[in-house]
Amino acid sequence: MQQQIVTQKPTLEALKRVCAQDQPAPHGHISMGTEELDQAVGGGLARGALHDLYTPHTTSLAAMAGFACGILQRSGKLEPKPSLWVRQHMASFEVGRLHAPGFTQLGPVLDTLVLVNTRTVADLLAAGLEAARCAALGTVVLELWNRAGELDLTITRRLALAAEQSGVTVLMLQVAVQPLPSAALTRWQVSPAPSRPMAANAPGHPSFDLTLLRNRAGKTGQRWRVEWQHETGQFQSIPSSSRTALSGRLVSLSGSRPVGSPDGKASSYQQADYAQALARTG
Amino acid sequence: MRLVALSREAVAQNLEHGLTLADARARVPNLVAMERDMVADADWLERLADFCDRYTPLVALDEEDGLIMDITGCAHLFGGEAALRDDLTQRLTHAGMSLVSALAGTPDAARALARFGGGAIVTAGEEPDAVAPLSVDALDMGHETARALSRAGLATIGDLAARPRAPLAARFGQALPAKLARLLGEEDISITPRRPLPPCTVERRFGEPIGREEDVMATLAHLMGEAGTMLEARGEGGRAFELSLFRTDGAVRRLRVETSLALRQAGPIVRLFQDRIDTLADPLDPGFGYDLIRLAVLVSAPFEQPQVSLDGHQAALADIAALIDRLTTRLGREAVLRFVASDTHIPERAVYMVPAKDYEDARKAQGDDAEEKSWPAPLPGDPPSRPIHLFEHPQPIEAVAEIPDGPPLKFRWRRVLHEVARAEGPERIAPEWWQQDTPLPTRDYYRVEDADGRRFWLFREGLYQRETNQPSWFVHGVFA
Repeated sequence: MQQQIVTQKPTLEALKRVCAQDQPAPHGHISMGTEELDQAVGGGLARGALHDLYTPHTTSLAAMAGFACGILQRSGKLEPKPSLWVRQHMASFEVGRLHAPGFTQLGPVLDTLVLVNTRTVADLLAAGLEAARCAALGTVVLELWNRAGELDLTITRRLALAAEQSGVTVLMLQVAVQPLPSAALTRWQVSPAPSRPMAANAPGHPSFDLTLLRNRAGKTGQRWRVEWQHETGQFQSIPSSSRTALSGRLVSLSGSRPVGSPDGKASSYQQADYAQALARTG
Repeated sequence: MRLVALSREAVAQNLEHGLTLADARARVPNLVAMERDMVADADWLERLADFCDRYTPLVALDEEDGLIMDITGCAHLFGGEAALRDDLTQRLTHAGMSLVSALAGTPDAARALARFGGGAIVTAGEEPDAVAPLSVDALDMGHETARALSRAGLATIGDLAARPRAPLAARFGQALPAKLARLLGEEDISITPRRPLPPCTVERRFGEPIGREEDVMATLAHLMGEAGTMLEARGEGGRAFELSLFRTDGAVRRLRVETSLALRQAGPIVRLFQDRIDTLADPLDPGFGYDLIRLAVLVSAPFEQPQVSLDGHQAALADIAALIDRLTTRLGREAVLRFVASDTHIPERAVYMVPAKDYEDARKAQGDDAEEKSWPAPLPGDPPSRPIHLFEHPQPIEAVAEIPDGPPLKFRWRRVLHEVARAEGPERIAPEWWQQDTPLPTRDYYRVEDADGRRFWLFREGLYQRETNQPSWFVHGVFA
């Protein structure tokens, strides 16, 4: 493909064409409900593909699960198909089990959700692969916990291929691990963000700080703060102006703090990983 | 300590059952005695019963050292009753056992002949003559009755059979004539098999034992084809299947798979068994090979002919069911789950999980109730009131509140200090006093958000100054 570019004079148009061939989204996109996010990843999260979600802190897993749940809802809205959530057994003890009442309050997908608990990472990946091949499913969420020795480029590649063939969207949630090179189309870092308060300074809707760490359809590194609106069933981005305006009223709010890196570690992780991933996958 | 079982050599030394160990040692100084292991004996009998499954599906245990088999309609497969008995005797003798066996028209007669008559083959209708010479002990009515009968001069079953039954019943109770009737073959009862009779069974016997897994799977595919035809004739499909592999040396291995829809095509079932074999913790050991492979449909259900709908919805449902079956076979029943609402306000009990394959059954069982049981919904415009992650057991935290019954200002959980930036509450959840004798303390739940934007669900246990003076704090869940 590189040769082709060289012989045909590498104009920007040609390059774009080649990229477009390389990045087909044969199964369409899952719109997130907010323009900015959709545009950044070429019209929404590609269906029938593997996407990584990543968070450096264990306590942020709930936020990441919430974000994944939002994507499930968006995907379910597009086409009502059952989804599968695969967890490791020990996650229930570490961060609590998936709580159905909380899940239903985020949206209606729970009725068709199947939960799979596995003991080992190998079982989890095998179950994920089996599910990714089942075209009757809409979305498969794999919650990968801690050290994932079995996870390598091969298995993610397999997952991505299976997803591409069946049209199942696979979300891989990684907690507290340095993300490894993977065949995922996009990778998001998800952290909980201070919400916009309700009346009487009550915590507001689920809010997330997102950083796009990897993106095969465009540039990376953008950051957003979004909020999940369960009533309309869409993500809504919170403009930074409203953040400061709101946080001004509040006493001990650190909402204007740099996003996603309370200690600065996360961002150096990301950069190192991204460079590594680029080098490996080319 | 007494002797309960003797080897041939010991019998030759004139030792007998029931002798005390001290006496036995006095007679035979170099006697080797071992303590009786009831559990191992019972286990061995179970394994023998498994072995006997190759002759008939109806095998029952009889006391600690006997088996009763109902071979009605099975004998011709082995070339007649005598041939079946010879085959059984030969196999068990080869395995180093000694046995006494009898065949008769009723289980009681056969049992009495085996235990008290030294074994025989009695054709149906001949029982009265066959059991007549047996002593009254064969009635198995206890020592008291046996002694009373002997005193009355009734030494054998034949003596009893000649007597009118009514006086016997008057003297010894209704049970005696009933037992006598069964012994004499006048009344037949069916045995209670240790394994329920499956609705459909197919099997294949091999002159030359097979050992390769591919052969086993190919046989399974054939058997499933046959079973499928049988099920089709009845308009049914199978929900649970069992594959029994009988080794030549008598060991039996059973594998079981279950499906969420009634199935009768060979393909998916064979695949499930393949998954099952692949994930066995102790792999199949064919030893010297299997000489009998049996496939039993343990549970059958009406087969719903899949309707071809335009949107392919039915086909998709079948695909999902097949996926759930495969995952269940590989990971276990308790690993593939779905959520069902339960009728309680206590958060940790608001959900119960059912195995995904039983979900439809559970929903049907709940019936109309299912509509009523639902989880609380947030008020319009409000964010979710329940966390997405919930701890099975609430985790204790150290919290500081401005006033004892107010929301927390800061709390320490897992050694990390969280400053509370926003809080909402309390939502009071009272204990279910009608459920327990000693009700748990009341819980006041708060939704709080810390300075980093993490949202938690905390509660204070115990009402201040009413239930406790030192309320303790817990974190129960984490919001998205």
